[in-house]
Amino acid sequence: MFTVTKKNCMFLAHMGAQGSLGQAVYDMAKDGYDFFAVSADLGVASGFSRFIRDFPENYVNVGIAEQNLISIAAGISSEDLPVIATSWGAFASYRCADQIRTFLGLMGCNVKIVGMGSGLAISRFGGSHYGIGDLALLRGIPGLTIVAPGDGIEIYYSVCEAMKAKGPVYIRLTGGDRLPIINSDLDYDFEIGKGNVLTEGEDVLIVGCGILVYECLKAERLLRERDISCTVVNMHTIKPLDSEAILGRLNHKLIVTVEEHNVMGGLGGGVAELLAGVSNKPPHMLMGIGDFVPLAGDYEYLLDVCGLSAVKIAKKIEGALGK
Amino acid sequence: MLLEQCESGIDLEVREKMDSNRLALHKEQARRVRQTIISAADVCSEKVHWASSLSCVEILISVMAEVSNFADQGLEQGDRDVLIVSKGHAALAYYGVMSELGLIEGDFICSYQKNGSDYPEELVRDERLGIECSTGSLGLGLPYGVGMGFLAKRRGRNRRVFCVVGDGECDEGSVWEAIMFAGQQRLSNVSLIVDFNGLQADGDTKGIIAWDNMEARIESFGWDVRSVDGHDFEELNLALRAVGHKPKAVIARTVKGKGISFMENDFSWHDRVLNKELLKQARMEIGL
Repeated sequence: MFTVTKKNCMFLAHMGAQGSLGQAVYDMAKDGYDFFAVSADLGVASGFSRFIRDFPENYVNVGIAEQNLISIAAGISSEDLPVIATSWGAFASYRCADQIRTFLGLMGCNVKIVGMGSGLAISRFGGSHYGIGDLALLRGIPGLTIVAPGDGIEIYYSVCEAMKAKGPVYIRLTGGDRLPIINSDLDYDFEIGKGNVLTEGEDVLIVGCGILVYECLKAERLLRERDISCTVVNMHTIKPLDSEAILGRLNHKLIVTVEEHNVMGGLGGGVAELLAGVSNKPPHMLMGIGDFVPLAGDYEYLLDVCGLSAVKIAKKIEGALGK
Repeated sequence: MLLEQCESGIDLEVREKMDSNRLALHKEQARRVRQTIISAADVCSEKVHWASSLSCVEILISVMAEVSNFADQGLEQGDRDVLIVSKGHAALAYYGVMSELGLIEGDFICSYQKNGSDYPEELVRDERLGIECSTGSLGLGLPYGVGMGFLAKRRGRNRRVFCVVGDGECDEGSVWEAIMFAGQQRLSNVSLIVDFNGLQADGDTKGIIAWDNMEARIESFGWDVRSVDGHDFEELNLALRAVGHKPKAVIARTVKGKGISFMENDFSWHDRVLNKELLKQARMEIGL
């Protein structure tokens, strides 16, 4: 198993999102964890090549059939064996929503779905592979844990912890073949359901998830130069939401949620639901993808179009503070 | 010999006739299960899927009491054969057979469809009741069962999986994804039984999605397929006991609403309230 060292964090960042996933799955198997991996014809894209080579008895490809992916995974998990099931986020959620509702929601099957390339990671396809609303769809599934890791080492830990935890999990991967690094401190600790505070400030509470946390950190630096101090929370678990991380910081002037997801129904939605029952609180600004489908382009272009680049995040926060 | 033939791909026919005492027993069980089904109207004035339950009584008894070790409570859960009633709206027939076999209390019927009941209109996963899979969202039971069968085969277990689907349910594409996968993986431990009653909620299947050639369609995906009279215990027994290295499908031709004259082959009884007057007639016909 990987420990948090600068070298390991760099290695996983270079491996990319799916590479980090594959490394975690391989290491779990190598360490003797008994589990199954199932994919809808994306074993190689999931970074599973070494795992499939060395542990062929614990893997199956169901073909390009995401509904069957979830059902077969659920059946294999019937004796509580953990099963990891992978496809692109857009397909691993919408295409098989009823299977997820029934098997992971109603029956609580021990299946860990990995929605790869979610958000805007598959940017050049022009919409077919965008994972814009998977969180909105899946947050309503009873008992489903949802994790959206922020960098390579966090993807690695998300997968390992999800496999060890009993019950259904959706792991939402954003980012592509090269990842930014947000966690490399030796005291980095990953626990599902517990957000990580990356910077402490007084003016703005920025709550982000996924690879976009890196843009939040860059925005924090830009704002610091303009004498605005920000607390940045990496809210890697979307459900259950770490309410303490937010409710304990209502002394900020502004709360901002940032996500690579439709501005409705995702992390921002969850935080807004949490704040709805609180009387004395700062205003909450939700940043995400507006209710439209961006045209194709490279990832940086799409972040800019959606107003989610560090510069645009910082500008919008400045505006909201009336500066 | 058996192994040789299996490996060479030739399916063995089981030609043994069913013991006449067992046949008589099962017929009596079927009669009583139909009585249980109809007696639900005594405690439940809501709509019930009467006809869907009545069509699969012999199928369920054959699997649960004749060809599988399903009813053997002494076995560890992982060794017990699995029955998945994918047409979850036939829950009443399932409870009826469970009760007939002494696996649940006979008074279950008092709480049928009641508030907080373990016995709703569709099946909900419940280890105690032998229900492995929540069904009702059609087309999900077979792929789940195929997943279970796949694991059993990969891990060298003898566990078999039986799955009952409706013919109308086969409109769901997910059924065919599972059929293709099971054929590809040669899951000889999986048996699919199609309760082929020819009707679905809106009418005759022939006018909706016609399944005249269902046998050939399933066979084309690498399955061993047999057609039987779905109310004939001997035919069901022979078909369900067949061995070989392919997954098995039994197309069981049934009469929807079997046993109640005014329900038989009338699609409106798929899901309907049984009023007092008709209940009286049904009770008479069923010997209550």
